[in-house]
Amino acid sequence: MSNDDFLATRGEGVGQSLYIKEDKVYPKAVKGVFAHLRNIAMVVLLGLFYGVVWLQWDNRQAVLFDLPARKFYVWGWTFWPQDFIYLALLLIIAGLSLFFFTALAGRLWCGYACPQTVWTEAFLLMERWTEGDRNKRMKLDKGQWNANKVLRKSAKQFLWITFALWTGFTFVGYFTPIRELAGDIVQLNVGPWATFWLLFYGFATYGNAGFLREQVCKYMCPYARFQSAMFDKDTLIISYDEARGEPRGSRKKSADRQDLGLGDCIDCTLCVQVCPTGIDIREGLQEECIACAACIDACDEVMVKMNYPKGLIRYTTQNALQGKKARVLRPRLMIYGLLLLSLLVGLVMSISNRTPLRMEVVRDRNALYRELADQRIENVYTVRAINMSESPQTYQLLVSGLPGLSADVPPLEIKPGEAAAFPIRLQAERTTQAGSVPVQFVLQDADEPDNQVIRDSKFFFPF
Amino acid sequence: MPKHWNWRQRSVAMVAWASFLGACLATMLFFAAFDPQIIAAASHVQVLEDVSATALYSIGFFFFWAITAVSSGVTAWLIRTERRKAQFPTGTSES
Repeated sequence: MSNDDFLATRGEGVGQSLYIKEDKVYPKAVKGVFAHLRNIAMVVLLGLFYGVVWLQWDNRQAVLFDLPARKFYVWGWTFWPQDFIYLALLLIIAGLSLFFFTALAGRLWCGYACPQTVWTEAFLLMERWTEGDRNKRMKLDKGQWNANKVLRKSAKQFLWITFALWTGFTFVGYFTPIRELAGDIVQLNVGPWATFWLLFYGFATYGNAGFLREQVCKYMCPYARFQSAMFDKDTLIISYDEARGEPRGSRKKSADRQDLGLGDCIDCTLCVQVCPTGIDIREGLQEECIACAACIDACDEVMVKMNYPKGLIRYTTQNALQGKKARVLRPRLMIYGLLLLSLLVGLVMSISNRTPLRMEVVRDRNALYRELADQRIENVYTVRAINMSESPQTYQLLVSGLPGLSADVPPLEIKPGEAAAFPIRLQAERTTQAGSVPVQFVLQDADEPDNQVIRDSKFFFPF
Repeated sequence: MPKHWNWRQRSVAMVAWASFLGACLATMLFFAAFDPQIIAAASHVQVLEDVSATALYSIGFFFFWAITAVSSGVTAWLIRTERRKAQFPTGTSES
């Protein structure tokens, strides 16, 4: 872009209304292997989102992010703010999977799993039920407002709004027990913030999946911009085989393309019509392409009708297109894969092996030590413990590290899911030692001594 | 080829979305470490002490979103209003 062009583009927005309607994309419905895969992904992912929230576990919601109590329930597991490390690990794993899958097959995430794509597909489905496929929709939009148009448009809006509100309701249901929430809604007794988030999330779903659609991918998504940095020449991309397709041109099915001097592309533009971002894949790999593979399905169907081999548009690699050897398993992928696998295994292992008990030992801040009447030295601590299990527990506190150390600590009882703080007084004989001496606090389950937490602290003698 | 969003639409969309993602991340990480109810109780602001935990999390999220939006917005504005022409001698194209 030249300097002047750039300035012209920048000036374009000045004084214009904020929302200028983009030429609308009317993606045509498509059938085929990848459409099938995309549908499966949609049903599974949306099914999980809308379904899991209703599952029960031990008389509570199976997956519930209880913010006021600061506890996350995920089936049998309860996560506390202290489990922050797992959240960090999860984020790292998510990032690394993006690297792995992008290196493997480009924008798999965009085409099959991104909420933006999945909800857009769902909204498109409703649009097709009510307004028909591409040509019907285009005709409807161009046509006069009549009874048919009003009926179809309002049916679509009804479905969209209901679906969006249900989505908002489900979202809030992950933070407020959904069965209670449903009861509150029936009785019109929903709290102001629950109402707000329900509407906010519903509105966001409606706006993103109903109206913004491909614009989100084109202009707003950071991943769409940097994913190309994770590509290499062996990454699977969706590409049009130019060598085979060109020169494109229409012909009769019976005609011999060699006589006509034509390639395999019959220029039916179906690949353009099915594209949800409205691009022409035959112009090469473009940033707008979300790799949904709709064009592959559309083109394959045509190729079969023409009795040409499938795969004029296909998943391939830059190396393969240039006639070089394609390698899917390459060091980069294996390193990402191994890292990902070990992190995943580590996460699951550490979560399932974690001790459902926490302890922190804090020294009294006011005095380092106290000299008692009988010449013994006393240090005061506060032991804070959390019972992270699902049942009440009795714990035994043991302290070691000094000869003659006595700690008169009764068994500590803590209710399930509760934290408790206990003042602990440690006393030791006065010795030749001065200053700090390391001591060890061990808190163990009275019934299962293997369930224990060890914390180091210090015991101070007079200097 | 579909027409493209103009520069201002793009800026608004980018700022809104990027700051939203930033605010989500900030909310998640910050509140994982700090309990808003303790912060509110220590704030000595009556309004904050009276509202529910859900409200505090919500206020926190919108506070983060406001800050990230201002930051993204100013960045976008600075880039847009930069006097590019003066920086390049005549005749050189920047693309």
